[in-house]
Amino acid sequence: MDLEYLAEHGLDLGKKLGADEIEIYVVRSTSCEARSLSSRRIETIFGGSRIDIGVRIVVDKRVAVGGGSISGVEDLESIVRKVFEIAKHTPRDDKWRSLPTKLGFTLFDKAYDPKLAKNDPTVLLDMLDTMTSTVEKHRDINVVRAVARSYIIERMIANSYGRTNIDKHTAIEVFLAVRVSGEESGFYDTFEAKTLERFNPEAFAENCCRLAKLTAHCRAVPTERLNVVLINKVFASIASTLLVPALAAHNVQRERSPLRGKLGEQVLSEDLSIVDDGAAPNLINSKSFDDEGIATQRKVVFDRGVLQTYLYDHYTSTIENRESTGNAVRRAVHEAPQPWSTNFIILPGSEDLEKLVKTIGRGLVVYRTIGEWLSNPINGLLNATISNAVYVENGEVKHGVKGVIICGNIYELLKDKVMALGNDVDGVEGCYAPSIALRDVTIAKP
Amino acid sequence: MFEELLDLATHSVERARELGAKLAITRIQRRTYERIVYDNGTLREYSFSTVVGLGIKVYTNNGVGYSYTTSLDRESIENCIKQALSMANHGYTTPNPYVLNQGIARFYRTPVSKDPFTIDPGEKISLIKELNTESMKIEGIASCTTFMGLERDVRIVVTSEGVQSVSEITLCGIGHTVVAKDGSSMERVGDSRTFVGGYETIRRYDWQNFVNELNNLAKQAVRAPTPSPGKYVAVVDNELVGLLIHEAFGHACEGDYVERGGSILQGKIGQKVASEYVTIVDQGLVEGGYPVVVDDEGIPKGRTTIVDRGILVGYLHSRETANQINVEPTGNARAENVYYDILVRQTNFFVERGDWTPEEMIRDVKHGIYLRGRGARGGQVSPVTGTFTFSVGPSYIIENGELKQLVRGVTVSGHIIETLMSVDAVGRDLVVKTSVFGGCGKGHQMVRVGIGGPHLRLQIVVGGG
Repeated sequence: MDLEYLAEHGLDLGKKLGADEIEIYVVRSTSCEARSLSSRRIETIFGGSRIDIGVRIVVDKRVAVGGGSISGVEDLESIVRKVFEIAKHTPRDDKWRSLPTKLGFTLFDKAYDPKLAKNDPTVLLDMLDTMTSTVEKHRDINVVRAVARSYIIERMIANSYGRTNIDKHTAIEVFLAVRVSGEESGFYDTFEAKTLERFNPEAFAENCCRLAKLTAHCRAVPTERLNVVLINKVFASIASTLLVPALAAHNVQRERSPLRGKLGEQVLSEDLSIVDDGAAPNLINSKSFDDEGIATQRKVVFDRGVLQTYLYDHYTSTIENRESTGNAVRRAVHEAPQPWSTNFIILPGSEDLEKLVKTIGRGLVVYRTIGEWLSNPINGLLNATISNAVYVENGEVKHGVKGVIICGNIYELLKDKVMALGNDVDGVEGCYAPSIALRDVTIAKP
Repeated sequence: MFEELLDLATHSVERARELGAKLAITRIQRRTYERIVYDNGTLREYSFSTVVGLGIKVYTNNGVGYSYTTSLDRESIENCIKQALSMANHGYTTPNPYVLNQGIARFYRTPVSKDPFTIDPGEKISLIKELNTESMKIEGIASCTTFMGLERDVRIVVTSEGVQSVSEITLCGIGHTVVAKDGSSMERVGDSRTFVGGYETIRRYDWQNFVNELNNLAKQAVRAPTPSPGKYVAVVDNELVGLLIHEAFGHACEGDYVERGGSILQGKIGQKVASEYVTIVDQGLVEGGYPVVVDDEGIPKGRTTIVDRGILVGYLHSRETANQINVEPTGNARAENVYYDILVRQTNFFVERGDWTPEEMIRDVKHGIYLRGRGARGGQVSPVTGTFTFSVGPSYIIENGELKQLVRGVTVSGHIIETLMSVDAVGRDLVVKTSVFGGCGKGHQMVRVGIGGPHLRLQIVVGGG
């Protein structure tokens, strides 16, 4: 099925039905996933292709959305008719101005990997085989799960005011979990990008094994307040949970954000600058336009700790008579867009990791937490349970640590307790950060 | 409608066999979901979505492959079968699946009096609007979101062994998340209720009372302190205990983790992993839970005992994980939808009832905490290290057998086996619940589950603010 035909057909039908405004979002995704058990041995391999449609219709400032996967034009028509019917029943939204009137397209590098675009399962199987073979060189480590997924995504948006070009990109996601034999210890790591350019499966697996061994042999920590280094992906995940929702304009406008009214204020340490960049080369959430068709862009969110802007979609931007920042995100194609981060990037400092660890003297280096996503962005309270860490004294690793909780208020931690920032940016799920050293962090331990 | 889909599925497994499959499993799915969201007095979303498709898994002499299509015409299905067979021809070894000796036929449909998808949208909007706008008038409430979710999920599974299964599950629910403000302090409390059945279940529940309780709880919680971090004797209420058991123990019982050395429960069959008061089961059909009669590999889901009076007696299995250790599969192979191959998942996983009342449990505690489920937001486990964590709603400090200070911002953590070994009392008030708003996440897939249990008393680490 042709994406442009589907979009135009949906628009035409909406107009005929009597919609004041209509938006059709069309996404074709082709995916392949392989799960490996060990070298030359796989659990499963699967894949396929689907088209998803998102429809937004406005009738007399009454807005409805709907959609889903479709098997043909009839399904598209059925969705448009149903969304139109629902729109007629919904109450007027007097804050509604319009759908976006200026659709755009930002070109960026490394959006498309020709190797992934072939959708050849062999690419994934070879990658998994390299990873599992690497793990098997370590006699005391075994593979728990190795998964690789590739995607080819084509997307376009058309609305009553215009249409975008087709945005075509690829993506790769890799997951590896290993266990230390005979120990209640292991480690998992993830990789995600638009292309394979930065991915070395052998180095990735080696690092996973190294950290599994390093954080094994766990013992209790001695005190209840410690200096802490959060390794880059841990810091990224915490920032994603606690800062991003607080920056989303709909949460700010509806009094669900501790950052409301703090534009221009020194919220974080001067060491911390943060940008949101929807068109950064090779980063997983990069797109040529956001999920309602507005060209993606780079914006400074915190400049040396001072809050510069919230993240807006078109609707929330019109409420404040300003431009969208290109941050409309749909959790699924059929859902209504709302403001969220694209690629949320905490800029690095200058310290290498070894020096950063020495900075804290006596404390914890945290390589993996679980449950940090349960922390509360409404009030900034952080709770993250450590599954992989080491206790260090003067840069020397003493033993592994797990099962303790690090807690505190994220704004206190990131304003008053920053000791140093690493030069090693890495990320998870579109949030990227350097490692960070924090002083005097509260620890709850068994 | 079901006959036509069953014919398509049967045709596909027969065709896969003709083309060389030793075993073929076809899944067809039609899922419809409707959601209404009122946010601070404004309708933010009235949306619906559909999932439609066919997926086929084939085992050949060369390996295993799975492919899906959203088009249900014969040509697309033929291409889908060939794609699955092509994928199976990868040259790598794969585990062999358990194969049934004979076919079975199952049909399960949730009893529905009022089809939620034919109810006038105006009635649904009116209910959510009233609950939301009335809440916003309350002093101290800064923000609130009220939402309705309606789901119908039709799943058909046909295998080349002769399995034919049809299930149609209908869920209806309402949720409410409220943010209270007191000076510069803010606190969020959210909860939802889901019923298995039609819109009649929505009409007969007192939603105004449900929302009032949440609003009041948020107003109290915003003024509450956070608890001191440390290890506590905890009484866990029967709304929270399901989350604890699901996260702390259920995932570690999943056969794919166990077989690959990814669970601390590997090799512990016959060993004591919990106190003698604890019996844990996974059951496909249970009052209040999410009905699973046949899993997504065509294996019937009955009752699986995992822990019998503290002793580990079994794991949860798919066809493959069961076959690797020569046991029968337990009906726990599940996928979010046809766009994914299966993983080993829990269905309704819960602790069996004991004979304590909550009051008796609290009365014996000198200094501890009463952990409440209302407002809890989920959890996570690392099965390989045995560490788990989950969030808890506003809870109470226990002093000398009485509930005292309300506390907020509570997260708890522990070690799977140590925590269950510490259970010294099990309540008689078993409750199992499911949710139309979420479920269990694993490997990028979310499936509906039922979680539950009675009150438990145990020792656990509490994180504070």
